[in-house]
Amino acid sequence: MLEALAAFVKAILYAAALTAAGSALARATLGAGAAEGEAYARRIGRIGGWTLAGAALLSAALFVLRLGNYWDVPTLSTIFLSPLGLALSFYVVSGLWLATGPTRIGAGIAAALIIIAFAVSGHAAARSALEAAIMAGHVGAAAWWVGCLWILLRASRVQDPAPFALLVSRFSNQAVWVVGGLVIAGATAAALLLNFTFDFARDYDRGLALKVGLALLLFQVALFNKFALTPGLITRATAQPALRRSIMGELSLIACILAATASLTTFTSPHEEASAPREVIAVSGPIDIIDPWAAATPGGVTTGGGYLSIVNNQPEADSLIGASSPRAARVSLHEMSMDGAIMRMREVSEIEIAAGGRVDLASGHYHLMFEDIDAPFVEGESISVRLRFARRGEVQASFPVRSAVGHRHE
Amino acid sequence: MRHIIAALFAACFMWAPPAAAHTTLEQTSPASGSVLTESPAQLTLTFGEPTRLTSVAVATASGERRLDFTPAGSATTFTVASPQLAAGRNEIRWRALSRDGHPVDGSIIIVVRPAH
Repeated sequence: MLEALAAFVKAILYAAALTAAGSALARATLGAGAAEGEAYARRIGRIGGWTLAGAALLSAALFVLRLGNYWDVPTLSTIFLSPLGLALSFYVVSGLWLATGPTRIGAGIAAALIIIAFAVSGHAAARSALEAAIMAGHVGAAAWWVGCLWILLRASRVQDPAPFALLVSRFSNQAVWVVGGLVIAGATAAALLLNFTFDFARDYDRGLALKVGLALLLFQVALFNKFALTPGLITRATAQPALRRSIMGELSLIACILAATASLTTFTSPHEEASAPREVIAVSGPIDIIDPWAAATPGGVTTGGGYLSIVNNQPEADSLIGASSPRAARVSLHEMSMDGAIMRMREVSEIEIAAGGRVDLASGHYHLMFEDIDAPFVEGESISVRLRFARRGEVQASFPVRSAVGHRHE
Repeated sequence: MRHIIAALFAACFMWAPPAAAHTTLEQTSPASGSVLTESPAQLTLTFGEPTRLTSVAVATASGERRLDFTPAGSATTFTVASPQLAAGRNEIRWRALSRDGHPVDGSIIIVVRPAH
């Protein structure tokens, strides 16, 4: 829940950062000759600035909560005296600065500070200065685009066709270069973050694919605007309202991309391993130990069950003849069988595994029984077990504790 | 159209799995799952990359107690001097900020079973 809220606040922060910085950048490149646009850019800069400062402070508070809600020196200094804290303070300072409606130069400096903040903290910043710089380029281009779209949206409502067409054509000529740069920087940053390997099994890579899909949709709309709607702006009266709706569509798609990005940077990390396959080979060799696990024990219970699959890769049959664990006074081998409706359990001295064969010690059949445990097995911990085989000798394995729901041990 | 975009926006938040554990803890001494006869003289946590540890607490049947650790700031190895673990099962919970700005947490279990 806290993580979801953090992702939502981050999406707001991204949108506010791009709007605030973008208003200043768009003002610099589009502003000339459009007094109306200039005043409007300043206004959206103010709104974006306030929102950015607020979202950054809220985000900082959420970090404290997510780190255990300790409002003490170690937690606060970790947040504020780290790259993360530097980035958050850049957002707050530049946001408040833009909120005052500064001059064009002041707004430019504040915008630069916001863009630098993206290069200070995050997945790319944690890797190298080059990747941080590429990320700053990507964010800067995106900010410019967002700022321009806000100005064009406003102009489409208030301007006459002739000056509006002039503004759109100026934007259109600049956008070819800026959006080109945005794509090149984005693709380079993604390739470097993923070390040039795309693995659909990783959550991060799937999220990135979603982002690319949305971006392609956005480019479709942008191209439609450029080639289908823009040429008719002066000649067709319907073109201007159509373009306005289309710009709203573009901004909505950008909001989706920012939501995906916020989820991507909150929930996943490119530094993470691919999600584990279904069956985990815990130990491999002459004897493979697959998916070992121990059932969590309720308080007061002094026995617990252990389950695993054993594969015998040896050319001859082998037998599991015993087991021991530092967590239990004794570990025995049990077999469970059904006698009509009555379940019977008996201790066995050995469990044979044929050459090249496999035996599953699963609930309802064979299993290990931990006896006289003095501390309960709790989900999340691992129980160290030494298994003794007649031929192979001892094999050490670690049994993660999982909930025993549906696997109740009698 | 508006509904489609709203649904798309919501979906962008929901594609993500519940926060995956970014476990960056490489090893601890004593190791998790250790059974000791007395409380260790010190506890060390070693992370795979520079990390900022923010809290270490030990949870037992009788409640939770914060532990002091060194160093402050970014490091790969942190030490808790004299954790004074009680007899029984001790869950040591740690929280940290990873190098790329993710809050990460985890716990290790150490059982103290005095020799009879």
